[in-house]
Amino acid sequence: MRFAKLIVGAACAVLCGCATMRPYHAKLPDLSGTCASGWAQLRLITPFMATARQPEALPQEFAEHAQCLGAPALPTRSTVELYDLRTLGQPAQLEVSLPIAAGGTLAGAVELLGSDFHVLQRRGFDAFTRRGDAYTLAVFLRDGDPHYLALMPDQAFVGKQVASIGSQGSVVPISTGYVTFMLAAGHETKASIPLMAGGQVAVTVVVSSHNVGTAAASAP
Amino acid sequence: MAFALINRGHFDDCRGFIHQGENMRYLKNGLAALGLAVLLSGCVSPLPKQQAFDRDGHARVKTIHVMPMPKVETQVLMMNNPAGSFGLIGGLIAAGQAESKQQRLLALYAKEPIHPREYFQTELTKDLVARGYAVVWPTLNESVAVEHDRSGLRDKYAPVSDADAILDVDLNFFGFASGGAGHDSPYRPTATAVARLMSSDGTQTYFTDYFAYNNIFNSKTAVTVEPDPGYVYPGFGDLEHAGMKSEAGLKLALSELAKKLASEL
Repeated sequence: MRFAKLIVGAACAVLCGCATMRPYHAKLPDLSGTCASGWAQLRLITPFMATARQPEALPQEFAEHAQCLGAPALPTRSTVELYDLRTLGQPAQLEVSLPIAAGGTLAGAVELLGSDFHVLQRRGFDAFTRRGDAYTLAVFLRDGDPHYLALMPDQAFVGKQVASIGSQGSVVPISTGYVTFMLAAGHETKASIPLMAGGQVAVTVVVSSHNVGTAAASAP
Repeated sequence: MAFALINRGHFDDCRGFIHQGENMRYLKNGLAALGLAVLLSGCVSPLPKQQAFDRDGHARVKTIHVMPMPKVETQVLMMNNPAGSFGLIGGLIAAGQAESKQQRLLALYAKEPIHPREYFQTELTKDLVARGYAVVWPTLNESVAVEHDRSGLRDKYAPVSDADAILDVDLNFFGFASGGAGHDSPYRPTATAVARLMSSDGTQTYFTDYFAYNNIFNSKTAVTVEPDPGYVYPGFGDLEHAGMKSEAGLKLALSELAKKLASEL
């Protein structure tokens, strides 16, 4: 009987795990130190290539990988992650994902840069699609350009809040001594998500000519 | 999965287990709610793979042939209903409560009933046209059975000659939903949809995605639209008391869902 209760409790814990969110606090990038003055001084990041086994990059802390960049490359100091797209087989598709967390979500903007780091296209945070657990942006590459992808905070959105409504269910084992049954209960969850200059980020090469087949257009 | 199967009439497969009639209808609604919650929660993954639309890469897509949508019912759903804990009887009670609330809601809107499918089609057409597309809606022949997969989308697509692409859309859930029992889990207008854009010959997928207005089902990947705070009802009585204003909330849910879908194309 006791063993059965333990099994029931473990099952509840596993099931409840579908709806829980781990406590997380976004780290803010440090802009107080020495800043690079040119794009070429920044360390390049190779984006994660999706595989059948791991279709998405693991989220990483933006503040731990971003570097400070200032004038004359940028009009005001900002922290930037610079991804190297030159080795990708094109056409290609990337997904930039900004996980949503009550402890802070990166309000990111993406700039696609040419060979000499001039801006070909800018996509602000409002271009991202809000999903259940992340803001995502699909980037398609097809004709040799761009060469780099820069991810940085979108100052127009930093400091704002967005609401997130969901539900949380729990299953409690009730035992009368003769009968044990599962009582389901739940409630609405409502959180205010702060948009920040820091947070987690995952950049994944979903499709390129180097990994054709992992997510390429296909028949239904 | 159960929700999609039930709504498509495949629930008839279960007739060997239960009696037809009222109990059948209650159980159908109860299982529909359970199936929807499981499907959208992301704890299982029967949904087809999502795929973003490369608008520049498919710039020649100017005209979209939208496949006829199945009929949509306005529903009332309480997630995590405690009554559902008490076996089949409890499940029937919970389903009966949902059925009763659904009937009261329809009676409330009897003077100016909302027709979700038609309303959504009108809104989607308007939004797609605003995005620069011409839209073709063929006439639906209700008597012809259409095969759908577990997500609510069609299994296969016949080629079309009147458009550059085929859009398949299904409204999975439409109505009011709450996250649980009690006033801290209010009823809010809720709508979910799945959509897929295919090449005009029906062989290549251009786009697949899921949408949720009021993501009370905790779908991790669905494109999410947060519900308007102007339409929040702590109890079902409050919803009834609001009268036709609550119907405006339902219309807003459909409008926002259509707008979001069009914005992804």
